[in-house]
Amino acid sequence: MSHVTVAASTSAASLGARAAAAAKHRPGSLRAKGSGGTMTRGVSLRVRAMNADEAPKKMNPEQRARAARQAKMEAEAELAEAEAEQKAEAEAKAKAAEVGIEARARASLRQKLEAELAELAAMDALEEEKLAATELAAAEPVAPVVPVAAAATATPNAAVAKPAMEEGSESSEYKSSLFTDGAFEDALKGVNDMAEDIGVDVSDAPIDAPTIDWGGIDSVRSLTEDDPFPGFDGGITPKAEDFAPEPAMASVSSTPVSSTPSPAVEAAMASSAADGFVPAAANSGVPALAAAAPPPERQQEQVRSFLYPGEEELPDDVNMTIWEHLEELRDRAIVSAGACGVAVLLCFCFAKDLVIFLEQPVIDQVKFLQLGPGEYFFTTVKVAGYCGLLLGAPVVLYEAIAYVVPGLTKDERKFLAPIVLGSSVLFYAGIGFAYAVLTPAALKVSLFLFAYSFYVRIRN
Amino acid sequence: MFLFVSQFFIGYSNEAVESLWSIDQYFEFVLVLLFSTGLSFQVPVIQLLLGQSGIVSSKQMLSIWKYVVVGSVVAAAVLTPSTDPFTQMLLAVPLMSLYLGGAALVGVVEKGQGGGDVNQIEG
Repeated sequence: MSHVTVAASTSAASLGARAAAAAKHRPGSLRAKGSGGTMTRGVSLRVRAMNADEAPKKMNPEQRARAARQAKMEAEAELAEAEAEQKAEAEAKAKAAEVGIEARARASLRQKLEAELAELAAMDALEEEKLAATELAAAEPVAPVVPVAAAATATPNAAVAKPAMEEGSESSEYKSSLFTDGAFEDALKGVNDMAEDIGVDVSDAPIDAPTIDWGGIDSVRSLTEDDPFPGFDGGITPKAEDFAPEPAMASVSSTPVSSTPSPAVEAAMASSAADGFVPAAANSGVPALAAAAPPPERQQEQVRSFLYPGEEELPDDVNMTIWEHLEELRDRAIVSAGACGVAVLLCFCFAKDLVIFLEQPVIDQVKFLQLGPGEYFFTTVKVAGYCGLLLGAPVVLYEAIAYVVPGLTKDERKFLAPIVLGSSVLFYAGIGFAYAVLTPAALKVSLFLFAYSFYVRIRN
Repeated sequence: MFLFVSQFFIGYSNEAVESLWSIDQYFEFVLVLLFSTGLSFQVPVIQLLLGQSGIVSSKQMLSIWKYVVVGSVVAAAVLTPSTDPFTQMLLAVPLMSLYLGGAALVGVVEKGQGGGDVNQIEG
């Protein structure tokens, strides 16, 4: 039992536990947990029988007895150790239960892993002790039935020893079943089945051999590739660091897992499923939408060219700090306000002419009165204000354009002049239209009466 | 036209009624009318900006002409202070034609761009 297998089996077992947890969190797939659990249990029993079967055949009785004695001593030592560790594990589990969904935070994850390691050691100790006991009792070469029975009894014992958490015992069986390659394949198959049952499509996930530390990040990215802006996660896409295993663990466990989906992907699926977030690969609606849209590369390029135009597109580009921009804005605002103020004062000087001019459309028909003191004065102020704004508008417009122009590209500048010119012309045209047509018309002049008067004038 | 209107006013109102208006109310009405009309004449400019930035295409603008008819009539009713439908239509019809002209202009610009510029952003 090398260290590599221990670590690998531990990570695989924690995967199984996570998958089970995910199944528990999704109400529609409770069945998945049951089937997966029984399956792993069966596998582990079979494998343990094989292990126990192989060991006695290789050694002669003396060696076996010696090994058994040694194993018993070791087992006693490990039992004491395991008890202490079980306590810590129980505490960790309680804490994990308290924290609930946040149990997948790294700290508690590490505690869980350590606890499971301890549990594994305890399981081994129990098993070896049982084996030793049976072999001491039977001096003759052991019949293949006995170890099976021993192993079979070992499992309930383990389950009794840790009644607090059924999940834990399940995953510990899982671990002890991972001593041979075939068993490991079976176990992983079980994990995949469970993953399929909870709706996560593992077979489609890209298979990449995890090399070191963050080997799973790329494959995780490819799962969320439907996002047109992979750079902008916005917190929705689960961060790879959240579910990537501990660096040391990943580097150790990379060897046996290379033929299957990387652990980070499965962990990502399991943990995100536990949170209620369905991974993009499992969601059938999103890829259809994404297929309808233009390819993400083109969208990206368009957005980038819009946000960050090239050097040649910006002829006089200058870099300014925010305060310089604000200063420029203040200067231009002061100039604009000054121009408008001057224009208003100018208009106020000629307010009487303006009033007469505005009365022109109806002056022949209507007599104007002021019904209170100062009414005419405020009218002139109002007229001067409006006309002053109208006069100062070109200056304001110029300042606004001059403020904006350095940030415009060549293409945008091409349309600046037509737009400014057209807008000004249309504005004054609108005012002229209202002055010449609407004002008289609004004063109850109908087209019919106009035609009638025209007819009368011609006849006279 | 303005002269015709003025001449008509003389002949029309002299016979029936003498009008006395508050100068304050009159200028309130006239100034608001002038400015709002001037602003509402900016519709083609806004259309051109929208079409140029690729947010709305000319086909989309033309496809919602029904809503534009209703909207311009409502806007004319709000802008003109008098209550008669004639004045309202007098403002609504130019608004509609301005909108249609703006949509056509956007279409022309799109066509001109489609020939030369390949990398245009379509909405």
